[in-house]
Amino acid sequence: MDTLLELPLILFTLLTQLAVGLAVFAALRQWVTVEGPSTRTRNEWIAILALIGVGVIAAFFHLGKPLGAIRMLANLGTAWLSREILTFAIFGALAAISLYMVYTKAPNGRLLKLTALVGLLAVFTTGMAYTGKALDAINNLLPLVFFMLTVFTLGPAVAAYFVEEKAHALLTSILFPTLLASLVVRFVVPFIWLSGNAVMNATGQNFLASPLHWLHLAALLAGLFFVRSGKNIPAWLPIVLLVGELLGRIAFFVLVVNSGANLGGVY
Amino acid sequence: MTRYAFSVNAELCIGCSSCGMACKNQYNLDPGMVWRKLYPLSEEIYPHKDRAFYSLACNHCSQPACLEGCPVGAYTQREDGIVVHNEDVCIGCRNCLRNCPFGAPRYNEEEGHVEKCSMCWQRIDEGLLPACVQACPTNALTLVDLDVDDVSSTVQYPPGFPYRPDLEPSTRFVLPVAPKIVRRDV
Repeated sequence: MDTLLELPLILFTLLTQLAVGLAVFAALRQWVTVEGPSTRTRNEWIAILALIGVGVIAAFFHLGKPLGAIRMLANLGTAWLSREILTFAIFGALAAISLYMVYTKAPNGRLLKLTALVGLLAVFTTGMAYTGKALDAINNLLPLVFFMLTVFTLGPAVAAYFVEEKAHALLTSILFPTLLASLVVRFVVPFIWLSGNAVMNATGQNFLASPLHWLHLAALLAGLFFVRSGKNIPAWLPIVLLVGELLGRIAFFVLVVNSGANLGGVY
Repeated sequence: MTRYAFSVNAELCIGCSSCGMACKNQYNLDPGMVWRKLYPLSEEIYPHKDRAFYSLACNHCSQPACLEGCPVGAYTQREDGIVVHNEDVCIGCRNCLRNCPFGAPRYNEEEGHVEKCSMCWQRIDEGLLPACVQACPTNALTLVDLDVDDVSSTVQYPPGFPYRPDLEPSTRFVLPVAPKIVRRDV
């Protein structure tokens, strides 16, 4: 796949998963500490809405006929892509209501929890939409695992910009194990692909030979070094993790081999 | 009932690409677009390079992954099994490209939509053969009715073709006979 051709989806998936991550940790903080209205909280929800908006606009550029996008809800019965559009539309609407509530009165805990849950459901549908039957290496639950790891990496990392320093402990208590799990999963999976069929093997080789993959792992490793329990998340770290996830996402879209590319060869 | 399918006889195929050219001519395909393509078998499968081929297009699966995953419902399946793609409904999201393990749907960047083999259903409805089948000079590519014709000596998942019983591709294959190599002592 051509990187330029896939760029809109790379941006859509990454930005919306960051938005969901922020919404999840906003709801979690509200649940644990009961935050009152503050400028930081408002800015966070503005950021969430902006990320969804930019992500959705980017996704339009992926379509050959963007004006037909509304028809994407036509096959909710069997197409995960239709379900993805629906759940993200609901998530966007709930995020807009949450922002309104955060602006006008104290954040509503139930609403924030519902928004976060719908956001996670939306990421679930994205994970299912990318289990393409032509992509042997990811025709399983791996896309869902990868995307959830992104949510729980970028969510607490970027939320550090919107919370008081005393709340960093809550964020690092989630971020550290997620970084560890992400590093292990993303390091091991390409080696497992090597023992699969020819198409999976080619995907594994692509990843192991790609600087995109190793730079992604390096960003996760940097996170593990600098995220310490009881200490603040350094201001530069979320940017490093975001760039790492972006490189990893490009690898996901560009390096996975399509089964149809091997017709006539040994499978 | 009728269940149409392509039958590809790799023993008879001489790799002339008449099938692909006939398809292009029939639909006046844009430059670079191919709905039917010739795939040479790798030497791990057949010992002589570029001597055995599969002529492949859409396999008109019984459980088409393209149809299941299409968010706008651009794909439909006729009662005779032919999977039809409607270019006017397609919005070019390319989800079917991720879902078809056989590489059948092709993206036309100029037009902003996906295209694929329709098994020439309009010709079939008029009692004609698909253009590719009609053009094959060796009868390597034929149209069969899986509910009527005897296909017991053909295979559904030959080497060089993805094994996807969950999709039930309709295409049937006759394998090329391994060559007898005669060497002359020098």
